[in-house]
Amino acid sequence: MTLRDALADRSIVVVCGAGGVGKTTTSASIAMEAARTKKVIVVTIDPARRLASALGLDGGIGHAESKVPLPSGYDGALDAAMLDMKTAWDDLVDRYSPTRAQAERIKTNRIYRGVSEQFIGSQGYMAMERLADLYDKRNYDLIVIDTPPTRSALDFLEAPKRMTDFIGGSLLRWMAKPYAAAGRIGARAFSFTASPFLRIADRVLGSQVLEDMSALVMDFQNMYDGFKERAEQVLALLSSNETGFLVVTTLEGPPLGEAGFFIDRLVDEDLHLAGVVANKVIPPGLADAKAEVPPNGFSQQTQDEALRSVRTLQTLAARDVRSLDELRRRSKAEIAPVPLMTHEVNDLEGLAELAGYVLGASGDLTGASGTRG
Amino acid sequence: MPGLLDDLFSRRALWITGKGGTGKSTMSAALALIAAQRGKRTLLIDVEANGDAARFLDVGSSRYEVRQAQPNLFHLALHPEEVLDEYLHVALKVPRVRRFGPIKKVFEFIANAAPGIKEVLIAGKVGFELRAMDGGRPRWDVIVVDAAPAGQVVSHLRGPRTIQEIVDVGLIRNQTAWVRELLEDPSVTGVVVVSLAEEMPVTETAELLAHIPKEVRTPVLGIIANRVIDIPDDAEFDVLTQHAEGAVKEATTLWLDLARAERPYVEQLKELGPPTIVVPLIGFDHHDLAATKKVAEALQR
Repeated sequence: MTLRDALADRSIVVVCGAGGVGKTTTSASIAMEAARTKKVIVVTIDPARRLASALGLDGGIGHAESKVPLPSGYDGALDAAMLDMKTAWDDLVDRYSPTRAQAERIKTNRIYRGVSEQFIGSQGYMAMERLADLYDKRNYDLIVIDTPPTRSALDFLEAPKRMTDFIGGSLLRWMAKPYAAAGRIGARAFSFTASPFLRIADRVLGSQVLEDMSALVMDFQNMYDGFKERAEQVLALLSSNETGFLVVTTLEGPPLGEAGFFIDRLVDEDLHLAGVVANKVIPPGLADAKAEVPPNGFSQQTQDEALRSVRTLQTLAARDVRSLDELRRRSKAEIAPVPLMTHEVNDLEGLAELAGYVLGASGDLTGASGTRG
Repeated sequence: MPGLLDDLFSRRALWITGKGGTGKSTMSAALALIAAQRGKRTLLIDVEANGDAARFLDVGSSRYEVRQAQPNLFHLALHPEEVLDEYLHVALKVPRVRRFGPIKKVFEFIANAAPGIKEVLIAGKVGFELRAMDGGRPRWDVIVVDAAPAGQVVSHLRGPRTIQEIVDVGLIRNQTAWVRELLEDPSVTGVVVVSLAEEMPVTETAELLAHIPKEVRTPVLGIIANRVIDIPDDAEFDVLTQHAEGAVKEATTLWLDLARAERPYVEQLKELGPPTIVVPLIGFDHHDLAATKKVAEALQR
């Protein structure tokens, strides 16, 4: 079984992992490979310019879907899109606001303007919102979605619920109530002594901020039903057999720790872990090079450097072998090791080569001496 | 590069940032360790409640409390709700919020939701520790902040400004003013960017360097090019790889290829402006205090 098999019947692949492990490039390579036969879209959070140019999109990737020109032999189609947070928020407000006037009011609220860029977890929420939107349109056979790098791993899974809680939250409603009752203009007339929270908040923030905030909360609450319905739909979609999760990691301590946490969470939540991609693996053959000595007859500095190279790579290769074993013990899912490459993936050929390692077309790498460049 | 280190430790607050996976926490721990070894009373602040820096100093828990890790070296992990709790208590004389029960939940909610609150709490806590006095002298000589990843560090440093833009009156406006002064004073605070010699981290480093001056006055004091393979004599090393056999041939060839791939990026980092320290790739199994000590040695070479 390869990752190719594990992903074959999915219509959604969610790619997750810590920052800097190669999620975006992995997502693009899978999407491209699938485009040999399918109609595919890859949605990324923060695409590198290199990725855009690797896909032949020299103008960069925008919020709207753009078509990737494919070479011959690719009979499907590939679109790429990135998530622009400002546009995503404005779209969301437009979609769920009962009236146009309300949408405009929200968009000019100064708290909203800050929120749309900084709301914690909003990247995750917007990624899921975009996913549901694309799924609804049924334009694609496969949606590959890259997730934002989050410290606490599966934040984006909780994002729809958190967003719903935020908007429908009884605490926030309770907070906004005095303002709602007093009316916006008469807000100051409300007796703050009635609520210890408002008394403190007024001292700290000043009443203008509280008024802006409560105005926003009241407007947001009219969108609550729309949000709630969408959040439930997203969760159902993520839990269905149509969705496969792919965890990407390197074998260094911190990202590997996060990958382990991801894997456990996916299992706990009964979500479908399709596989794990282990990036930048040092050739496992080097793990046994402990006693090996470089040839003699060179200058001391070159001799020292050669010894350093063997020792360092031996330590790292041994760490990688051990880490891969740990991953295998932790999960029954398919693990695809991708060897450390000495060149950047900067064209469609490079993406196809990477797809070979990720999806298994180039055979099982385990025990092989690794391929460079 | 001792010159740059001297310059760094002439400041009192160092914000260490960089793209995810570049070794930001390792460098924060190593820099804090060096400061402490130089006799400075040092606090390492982890802006993440479950950050890595605690592990890199072998500090067991990362609760919201100052814990000693080494002689002169202390660690604190920030938990925004508890920072907020402390702020309300210390600055506003509000009784500990947890006694209010549901009100604490409201504040947690706001700290998570309202723009800029979390950021300003982090900035404010760093400012508070910078100003704290013990027995007539500053509590800390140096504070090293294991800061947010590259994209977010500016929102932290800018936190006080953001609040001032939103909040016209009120206590918090006055209280953010002095924090802003400390964090934007080039003689007190500086940023260090950690990068790898790879395309994406170098691009992000360049973008960050262009972005910071637009938002805050805090200077970027230096760049750390991490995990770099720097072969002294390429040509001779190349000949060696050709004479080598088996695993040695494989290791030395890979080493040479990696070094050659990295070189243009090291050059790009050096051309960005701030002084650059190149730290070699070090092989270690676990990220712990022993590994941090090796990195600290490499930084001082």
